[in-house]
Parts: sequence; C-alpha cells; structure tokens
Amino acid sequence: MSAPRIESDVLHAYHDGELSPLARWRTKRLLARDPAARAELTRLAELRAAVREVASGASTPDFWPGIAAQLAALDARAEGGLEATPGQAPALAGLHAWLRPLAAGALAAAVAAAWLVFSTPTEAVDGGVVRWLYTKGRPVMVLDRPDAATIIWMLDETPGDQTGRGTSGVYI
Amino acid sequence: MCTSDRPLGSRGRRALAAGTLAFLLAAPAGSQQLRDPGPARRPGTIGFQMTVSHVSPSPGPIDPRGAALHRRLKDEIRYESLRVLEQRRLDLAVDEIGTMQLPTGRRLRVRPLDVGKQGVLVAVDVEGSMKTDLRVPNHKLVVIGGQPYEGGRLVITLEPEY
Repeated sequence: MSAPRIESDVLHAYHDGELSPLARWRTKRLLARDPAARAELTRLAELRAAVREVASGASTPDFWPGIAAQLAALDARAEGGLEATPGQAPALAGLHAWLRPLAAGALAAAVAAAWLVFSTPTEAVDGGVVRWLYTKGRPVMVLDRPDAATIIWMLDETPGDQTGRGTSGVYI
Repeated sequence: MCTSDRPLGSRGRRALAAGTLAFLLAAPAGSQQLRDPGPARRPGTIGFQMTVSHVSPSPGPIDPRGAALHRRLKDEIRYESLRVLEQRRLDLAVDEIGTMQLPTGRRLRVRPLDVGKQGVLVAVDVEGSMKTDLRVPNHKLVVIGGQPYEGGRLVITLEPEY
C-alpha cells in the first residue's frame, strides 16, 4: 500500500503558510515520507527567494530630484553668475554608483545646451571684414565700414557701466 | 699739362652739380632706411603689421607712433591718452600661426587662412576674450580693443600687407 501523496495545491498552501494547524501537522507528517514532495517544496522556496531578489532589485531610486536641483543651479548661474554652493556638490552622492555616469551625462548635456544658448557666435551677413565673431557672450561693438578702419570693441558686461556710443563715442 | 689750381671748367661745374643733386636725392632715401630698417618680407608670406597700444581716460600725451590709430579711433572711443606698447610685423604663410604675448599675460594668435580678391582671410584669437575670422583687404586697418588693462583698455591693430 502506497503512502498518500500531497496534492500540489496543498503543498503550495503549506509553503505559503495558509493551512490550518491540523492540516499543517498532517502535511508535515506526509512530507517526512515523501521525497518528491520535499523536493517540490525546496523548489518552491528557491523560486520565492528568486522572485524576492528580483523584486528588491527592481526598486529603482528616484534620481530626478537630484538632477532637477542641478538644472536649477545651472539656470541660476547662467542668469545671475551664481557660484556653486558647497551643499550642492554632493547631490549625486545619493545615487547608486551605476546611475552616476547617467546623471553626469544628463548634466553635461544640460551644460552644453546652456552654453550653446548663451554663447551663440555672430555671423556676418553683409560680406564686411568681420566674417565671424565669438566673444563668450560679452557685448561687443563692431564698426565695419569699407572706407574706414574696422573697429571691434569689447564692452563691459556690467549693466550701466557703458554709456553707449553716441556722438561723442564710447567711454572707456 | 694739368694743374690742381686750374679753375673749374664747364664740364667740372656740371659734374659738381650732378654730384650735389645725386647727394640730395640719396639723402632722404638713406634716412628712410634708417627709420625703417625692417627685413624684407619672406617670400610666400603675408605680412601683418601688429601694434599693441594702451588708451586711458587719464590725461596724457598721444604717442606719435600711434598717431594714425588716434586719427581713426578718436571719434569712436573716448580716451585722453594713448601709448604704443609694442610694434611688430608677423610674416606668416597660409595656415601658419603667429603669436604675440599681450601685456595682460594672455596671448594673441593670428592665422591667415586664405588670400583672395577681397583680401586675406585671417583667424584672430585674443586668448580668453574673443575669436574672430576677418577678411581684410590689403593695407586695411583692423582695430580690436576693449580689454581692461591698467585703468584703461588695450588696443590691438592689425594691418595686412601682401
């Protein structure tokens, strides 16, 4: 006479801790005599461990707040010449190591975009002497006349420091 | 017989007059050579007459060496004194880079890129300040200024000769 087999759903319920105390005691006695059921129970345990590991690894941290903080700092720096404060530097420290290059790349792209926006070179359109001019965003006065000397004059960045060019010329 | 105390004949007077005339004509050329003894430009190169000057709002003299610059600049820029700091000629072949050290410690680089009917295309880099490409006709003066220096501004001039 063969020993009674443990039904699959009962084994799963036992594994999940869903059986009543009496049913759990009876299943435990059957497992002691059934190697195949014990092997199945071991596989169920391994499967649960694997699922738990994958589930824990899938919890990606939200790194957008760190990037947003850096973008805000870049905007402020571009508008007001704001220097980086010491508290902003370790913003990337809260990220996982493998995410840091990604975040750094995003920051580099933001910096490059800001650089392009704020430092667009000028291109001559009338075929004068000055064909291309780049001053890192500094204001510049260009007097490009065919019958006189071509004058390229860098102006101060401080608003109000220059009176502008009038009949009396630019003040230095 | 020939004697030394014989008065000059008509041939002698003509020879003396020709010699005097030749001396008078040669003297200005000689003095010009003394003023501008610069070597001849290297074959196949473009000469750039470079000048670095300083203009200041403080009252002072106008350097005679910068008189030409002053004539062109005085109506556009307000300053009270002008001093020429350095004059140099750079003879550069196409794609050759000439460098000058500015008083600010920065460098000025000049690189001719092409020579055409409209002039020489030259790239100018004032280190840390500006970069520009210019198409400059022969002997046209280009003035690049505005860099702060000693209470005034630096003025760089460039004039190609080819």
